[in-house]
Amino acid sequence: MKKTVLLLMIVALSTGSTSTVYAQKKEHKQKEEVTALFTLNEEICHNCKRKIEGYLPFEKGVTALAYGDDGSTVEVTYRTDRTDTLKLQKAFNKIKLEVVETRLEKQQEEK
Amino acid sequence: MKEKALLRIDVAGICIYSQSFIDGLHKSELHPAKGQIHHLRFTIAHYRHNPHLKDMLQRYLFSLLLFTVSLHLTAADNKLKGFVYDSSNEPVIGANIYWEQSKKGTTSNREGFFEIELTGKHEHLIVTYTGYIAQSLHIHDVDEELTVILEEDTQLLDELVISRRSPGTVTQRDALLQTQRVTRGEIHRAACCNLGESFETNPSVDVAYSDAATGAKQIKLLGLAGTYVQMLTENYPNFRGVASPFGMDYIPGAWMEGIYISKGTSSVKNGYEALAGQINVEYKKPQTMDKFSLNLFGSDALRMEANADASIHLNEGLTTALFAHYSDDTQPHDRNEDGFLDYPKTRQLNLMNRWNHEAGKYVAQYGVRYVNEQREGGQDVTHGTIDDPYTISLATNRGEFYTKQAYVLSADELAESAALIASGSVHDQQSRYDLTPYDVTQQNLYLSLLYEKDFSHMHNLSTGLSLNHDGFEEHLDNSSFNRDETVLGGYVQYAFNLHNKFILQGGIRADHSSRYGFFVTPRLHLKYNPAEWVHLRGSLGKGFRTANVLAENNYLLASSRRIEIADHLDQEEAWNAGVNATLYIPAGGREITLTGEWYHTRFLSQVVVDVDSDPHAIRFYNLQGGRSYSNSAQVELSYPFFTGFTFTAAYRYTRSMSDYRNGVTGETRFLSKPLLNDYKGLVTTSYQTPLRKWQFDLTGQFNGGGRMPTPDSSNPLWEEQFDPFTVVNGQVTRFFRNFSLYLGAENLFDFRQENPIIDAAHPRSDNFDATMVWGPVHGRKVYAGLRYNIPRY
Repeated sequence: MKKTVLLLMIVALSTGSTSTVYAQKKEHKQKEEVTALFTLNEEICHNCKRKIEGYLPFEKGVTALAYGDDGSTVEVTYRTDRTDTLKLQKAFNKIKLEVVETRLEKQQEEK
Repeated sequence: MKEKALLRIDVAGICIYSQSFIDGLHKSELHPAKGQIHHLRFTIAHYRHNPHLKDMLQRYLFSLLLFTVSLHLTAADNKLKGFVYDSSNEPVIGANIYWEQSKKGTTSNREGFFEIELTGKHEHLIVTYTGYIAQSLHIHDVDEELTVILEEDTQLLDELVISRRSPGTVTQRDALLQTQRVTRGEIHRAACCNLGESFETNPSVDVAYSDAATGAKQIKLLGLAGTYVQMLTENYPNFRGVASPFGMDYIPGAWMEGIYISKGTSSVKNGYEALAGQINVEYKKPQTMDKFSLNLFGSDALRMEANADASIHLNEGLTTALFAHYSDDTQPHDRNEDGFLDYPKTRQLNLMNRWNHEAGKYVAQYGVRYVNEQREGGQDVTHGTIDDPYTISLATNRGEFYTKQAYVLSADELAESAALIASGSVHDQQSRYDLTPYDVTQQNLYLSLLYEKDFSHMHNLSTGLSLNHDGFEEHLDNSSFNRDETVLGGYVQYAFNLHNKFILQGGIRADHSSRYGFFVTPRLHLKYNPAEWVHLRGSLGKGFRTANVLAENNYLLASSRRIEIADHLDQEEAWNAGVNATLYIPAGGREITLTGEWYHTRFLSQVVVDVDSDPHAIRFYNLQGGRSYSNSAQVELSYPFFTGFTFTAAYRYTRSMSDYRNGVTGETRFLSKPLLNDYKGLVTTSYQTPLRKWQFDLTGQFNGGGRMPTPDSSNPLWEEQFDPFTVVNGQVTRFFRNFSLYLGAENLFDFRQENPIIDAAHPRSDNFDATMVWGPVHGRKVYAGLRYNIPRY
């Protein structure tokens, strides 16, 4: 019984790691990555951070997340072949955060 | 920057003045730009005496009039303008300024300047900036240029110091008392089935099994037993008396929002009891917690546990939450094959419901709770090979309620509030230690009325009254120890705060105990920041406590030792003094946190728990002028070496000494307290991948050796000392959007105290003793679990 429980635990966790390995392999085909700056209509409070960090990283195509120095901007780096600013803006709306301004870093224009 | 701001005010001043001038030329007392006003006064006076300058002044006034009109036109373009500064008059760049209802907003620029379009509605203007207290402003005159000063939110800063990855245990930077906040993130770093298991990554608090039979856990802080640490839940005293040996197991880890640990004597607000420190547990709040969360846990020892909680927002001011916990650890384990279970088989059901009601300045909380727990320890009867086995059983039922009623008399800059806290509990434990029954019921009622007022930013006063009643019905074998104690008291506490650089808080309370009469508890706390990165603290205070020897130590019945309790036990009384320095040193774009502390506790009177004078007895008696003290020194260093990584290393040295008096020979020996580690080292690290999809935790506890209770000189059955030992815990967590999976191991290298039970083969002999526990009684435990939540967005 003990062994069965242990085995189940290992299988459960390895499911997660397998998917990561698979994702890493796929990165070879990676297209362009850009960073978009999403300015919210409010200061990013502790609870907002919790919402953002619990939701955005799992949005398809998102590869990095950071916060701007102004206290209300979220910097999201993503793969352009998998998502776009509109989809990401919808993701913010989903967690009840309102984006008042979206712009791309380094004046990059989205294709 | 300041010059520009001044110039604008000057210009505004002229405008006001010039309008007055046009109206009647006499309102010379108008404010505020004195330099410019003086200039204008001079010009007017000059005009009166020199008519040749009339043209020039007319032109001047005309241009001023034009400027005034233009300003009004600017105001009339439907924009409100202003500046945002911090308390040191520096512009706040990027502050958020928005209308409360319509949410239309803007941000301040490099000069702190902003312009925001008017909405045409009556609504408050909100000004916020990370790390500062938000301002809600009622705009009377939209033409007037605003100057908004934002005050630092020191509490928020503590949470936001933490840019990318927050450390799980945060030293409360601006707290007057030395306080550590253990966050939910930290609680999740270990198996954390309950409060007792939440301190595995904390250098200050030790939690260890008290004996090898009941599973009772003893907490230790500053080298003192857990009974000298005041336990609070939601900031009111809880788990006192009979609940203290097992109370750590009554708070499921999944219910907790955070744990606050403060060392030394605390504020007099919460009573006279905290001698070594205070541990306050905050449960998840219905207002902010997830809609639903579930935690499932299983270990290779087949311990199963389920926690669930849900919150409902009935309307804007009324919220409620329901918490449920069930654990089953009923598989027998006897790794050392001494015939005794390594730890008891336990089953627990725990339910709580809490409510929060807010209506303007009135805030109320209510909560009820029920715990049912069954423990069975002793000889393993699973295989039925032992006739008349030695068994220990404990059946506990506990009910609790609490309410907090607060009315905010003033929520302005200078706060004023009044609050009432009421809590009560009934705790019933029916137990049997082999042939000895021990039954106890404790009833507790606690009332506290508090009033607090800021007289200015420097002076704060709080005062209050409290009442505590404990009733015990206690039966050991055929003896009864029924008793009551009612303590009525009041306190006054004054705090002086000089720009958050120097804080002094002095408090005194006077109480009257129905058993011990009047007693006075003075306490003093100081904090001084000579520089922003240096925080020095000092505390001195007295504490009192009523010892409930059987209720708090009934696990000691798991031995053949005779119980000898002296008549008329004194109220315990001690002084505690401590100093602490915390340095926040910038290094490599990050911050090293270095803390050094020293605490000394000296008892004036104490109930000595003596297992040394006689190896076949446990004796409880008064210190009676004898010596008893504890010294504890600790250094702690934290540094996040790279993004996503946290590292803490700590070392603590503890020396706790007491006089032990042999009642028969009259000999007194001054010995270190038994079963206490001389030192503890801790290294804990954690790494989170950039998108927080994985987390890896590793903690090493390096426990020093110590002294065993004095063995029988003619027939020594145990060593006089125990050796240092190391325990390593590790955990891997994989996060998904609404759930996470974790796999971990406690005591990775499988260290065990081999034979914690003395003479286990003959449990009814004079030598049998299950209380000689100094190390882990179980070996490696592998566990895994799932956390699932439906967030409230």
